[in-house]
Amino acid sequence: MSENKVWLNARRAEELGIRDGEEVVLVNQDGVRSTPVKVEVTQRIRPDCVYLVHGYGHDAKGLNFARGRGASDARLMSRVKIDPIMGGTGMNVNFVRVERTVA
Amino acid sequence: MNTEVIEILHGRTNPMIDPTLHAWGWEVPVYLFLGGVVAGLMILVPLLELRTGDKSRAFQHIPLLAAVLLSLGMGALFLDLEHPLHVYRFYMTFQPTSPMSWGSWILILVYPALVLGWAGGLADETRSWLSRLPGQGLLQQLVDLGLAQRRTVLWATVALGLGLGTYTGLLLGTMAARLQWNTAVLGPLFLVSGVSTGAALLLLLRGEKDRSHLLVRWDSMAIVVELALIAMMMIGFSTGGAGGHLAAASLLGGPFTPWFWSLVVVAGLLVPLGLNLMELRHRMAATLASPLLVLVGGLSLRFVLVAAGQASSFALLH
Amino acid sequence: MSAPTSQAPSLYAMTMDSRKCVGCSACVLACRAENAVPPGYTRDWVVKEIRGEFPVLSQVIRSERCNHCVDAPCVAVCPTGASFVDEHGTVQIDRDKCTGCKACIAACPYDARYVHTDGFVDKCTFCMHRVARGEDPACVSVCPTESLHFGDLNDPESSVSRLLAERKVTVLHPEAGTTPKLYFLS
Repeated sequence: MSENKVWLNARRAEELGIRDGEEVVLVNQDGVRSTPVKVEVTQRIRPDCVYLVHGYGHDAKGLNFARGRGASDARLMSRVKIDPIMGGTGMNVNFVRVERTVA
Repeated sequence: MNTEVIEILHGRTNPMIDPTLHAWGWEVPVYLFLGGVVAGLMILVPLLELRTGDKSRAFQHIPLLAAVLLSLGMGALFLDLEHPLHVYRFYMTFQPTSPMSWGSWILILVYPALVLGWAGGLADETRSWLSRLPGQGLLQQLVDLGLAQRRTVLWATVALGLGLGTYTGLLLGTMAARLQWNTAVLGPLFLVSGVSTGAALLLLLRGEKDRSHLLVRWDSMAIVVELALIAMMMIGFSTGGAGGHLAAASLLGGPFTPWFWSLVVVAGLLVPLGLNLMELRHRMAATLASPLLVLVGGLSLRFVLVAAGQASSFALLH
Repeated sequence: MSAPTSQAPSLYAMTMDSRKCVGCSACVLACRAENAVPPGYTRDWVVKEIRGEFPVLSQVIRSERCNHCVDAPCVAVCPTGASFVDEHGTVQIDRDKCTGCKACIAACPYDARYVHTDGFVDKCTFCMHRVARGEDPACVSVCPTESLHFGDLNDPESSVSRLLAERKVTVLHPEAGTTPKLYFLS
């Protein structure tokens, strides 16, 4: 697919006043901002989560397909919690708010 | 009406097919328009002669113009083909269930009718002027044949014009798969629109004034019938089940609504009808505005319907 | 599936069990490989329908393709006879006769056809070249959950005949009136 889109629960989208296909920016708890990405309003996700297909929205010039298309989930994971016993990395500690690019 | 919340994830992304069908571009509406104009010319000019009893000097070359316009239309069709080298395949068979097959053969018969109609309708000065050109023997044979069979040629031209005008509508109207075209009205609608646009072209080229009043009357009658057919089409859609409702909605609030009502109905039908009636009632000086608007309306009708039809897939009914 | 017998004429059809389909798209990939489908195009595809509102949701997944309709409108509108119904009741396209006029594409209620990059119109052929060798169509043979079956409706012992007798059967858009032969089992 040519770009990824951020999945947003339909009821939540209605509460936030965001329509399907609108362009938004995701901002995480540390103020890290994603590149602009379109919203896919769907029933297939919980209201308190958003989802992005991994691999898009990169900065590196060499990644000439992913660069500039959609948003990078990896960028938004600025915090991790390390498991004290085996060292596994927990990334489910990042939270975003959704900002419309056009007010 | 299905009010259930439903999300459909469709895995097919075929070019020209998805997300909505857009396989036919400008070539098809342009051909349908030119075919309609030529059908109108083929019906009106012979009927004028049959009614008034004498040949029109002003319109003697209309059959040639019709042949040129039709060739341009067929050129557009050729450009639309994805496999143009196989174009001869149209003429290696006749498929009676295919309006396109009917059309290809009607088009072949139209040319001899137009050539004989032109040859038999030449004014004396034109014939003597042409007699100075090479190819005299052939031209004289055509003139002789055209004159000897004048009535047959005229009626054959009218019949072929009726066939040409109607089949352009049947091309779309027989496709039940496209909800916007699923109406029996399309054949007659395109025929009457062809007559109206043919009359408009003749009015743009008009010479004798008394003949033009006849043309303005016939154009106006065609416009009235067209408006009635469009109304019947909308009523048919509104009472025609879920598919019909979708087709009606696309012209009453959907994306094609502004184009349909402004260009096709108001500019292409209502305003020219008003101008025509003013010209007839008050003997107002004729303008180019009415025929030009009719032509714009006829072209727009075909562009809107070809685009709307392709977009109106059964997949929209779930 | 056994090799076709030479006695009674076959009437080929396919069944698609939406209860078993997981949407893996192996059928899509197998078809593209088997039939040299140009990149970006597909003769078959997966559709997922999600109904309801979170968290009360239901999903139906199915694999779709040309339905090889009994009253195929694509065959009726073809001006050159390129689209035809073969002796086994499947709808085929003679590439040599196709002009690419796209009337058949507009006539198909299922939008199952596409314009091949070589200029002719193409679609699912029920892999008749494989069937002639006694094999199943490519999509049927790779399906990991055996949700696709192919066979002769005129043979009461064929898998499709038995499934149609045992299961609840639907078709897509029956209101189109084309009598499709791709049956969905639920």
